[in-house]
Amino acid sequence: MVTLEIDGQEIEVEEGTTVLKGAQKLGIYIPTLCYEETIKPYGACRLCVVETIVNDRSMFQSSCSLSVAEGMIVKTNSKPVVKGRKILLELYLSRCPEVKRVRELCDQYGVTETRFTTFDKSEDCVLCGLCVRVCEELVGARAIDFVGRGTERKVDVPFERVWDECVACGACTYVCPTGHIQNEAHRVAQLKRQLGIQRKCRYMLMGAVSNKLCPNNYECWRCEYEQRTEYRLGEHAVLALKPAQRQGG
Amino acid sequence: MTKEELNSIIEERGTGAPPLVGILQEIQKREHCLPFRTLEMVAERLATPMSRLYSLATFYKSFTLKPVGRHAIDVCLGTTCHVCGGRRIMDRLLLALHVIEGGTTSDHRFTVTPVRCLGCCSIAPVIRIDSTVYGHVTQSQLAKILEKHD
Repeated sequence: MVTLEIDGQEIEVEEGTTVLKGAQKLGIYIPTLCYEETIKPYGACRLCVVETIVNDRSMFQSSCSLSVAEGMIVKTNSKPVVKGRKILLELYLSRCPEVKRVRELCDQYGVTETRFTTFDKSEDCVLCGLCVRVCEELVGARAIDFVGRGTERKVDVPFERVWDECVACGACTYVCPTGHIQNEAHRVAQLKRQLGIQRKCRYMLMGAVSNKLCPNNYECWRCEYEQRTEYRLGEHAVLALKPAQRQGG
Repeated sequence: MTKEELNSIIEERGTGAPPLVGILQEIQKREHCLPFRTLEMVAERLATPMSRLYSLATFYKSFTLKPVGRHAIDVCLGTTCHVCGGRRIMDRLLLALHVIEGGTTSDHRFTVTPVRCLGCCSIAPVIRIDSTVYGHVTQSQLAKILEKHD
């Protein structure tokens, strides 16, 4: 057992627990974006940063990945910590200004505007890596991973096409704090909302045809619906909806 | 790349996590890119998920998924080379080879890419073909330099 002090309260916890868990035991709130109890800590969002004082020296460390030490003094809400979090939140706000979770956290800390430039207003991925880690650690499928680096970093499937590794369990969509990760079915629904349920078949002159059913199995030369859906989904919308048909063809 | 070639690369380097980059580097060196089929074979042989390979291949600048030319021409456009006319060397090269920046010639001989600094500013302007560095390059020398590499 290790004794440490968090925000002036002494607590005794088992060796190897993280500071974040200790604080939660005491009922102290520490904001997090990339933390999930069942997954290994990652320390990507840096929102859970706390000030630790060891040998009269203060350091800033992410509490989700910091294990407790004997005689450690932790401050979770000191002035420099809050200042750091505010700057972080400004950065998050500039990256994804329309994400609900980020907005909530900004409201908590009184951050209303950001000094940094917003490049894409519709961006809603904070690159917390929760989906990637869930897929790897809990599901074991490892269907998605980070792609690219720097400003072009994003979560994606390899070569932007559908793979058999993905078992469509939906764990990534469940765990995503911002709602960026969505199932293919959702995208098909979105597409339908944009294009309508019926469309005109121009090339084979079959009149108005339902999007779901095509008598020719969308195989006409120059079928524009086929091209458009393939361009957006990487695979045919209908085939994505009907896995049995995909296996057959 | 055939299965036997790939197997020899993998046996040389072991199958743990760190040699993964080494294996990809070796493939890149031999094929001048990371072909999709070869990546599939690597994934199958090492029981590594494709997402991991794709993640590595897109993270490191030295890997390309699209085929590049047999020789890589790096034209330095760093500060010193810029002052000494690196831009003009670049323009001349592009005109001579009929490519755009980062493009590959139609005979798959050269790929021209701009780089920021090669670390030898005293002999600016500099171009590097594969691992040979040419300093004090002038436009009239370019044709001769290109001849050395086919």
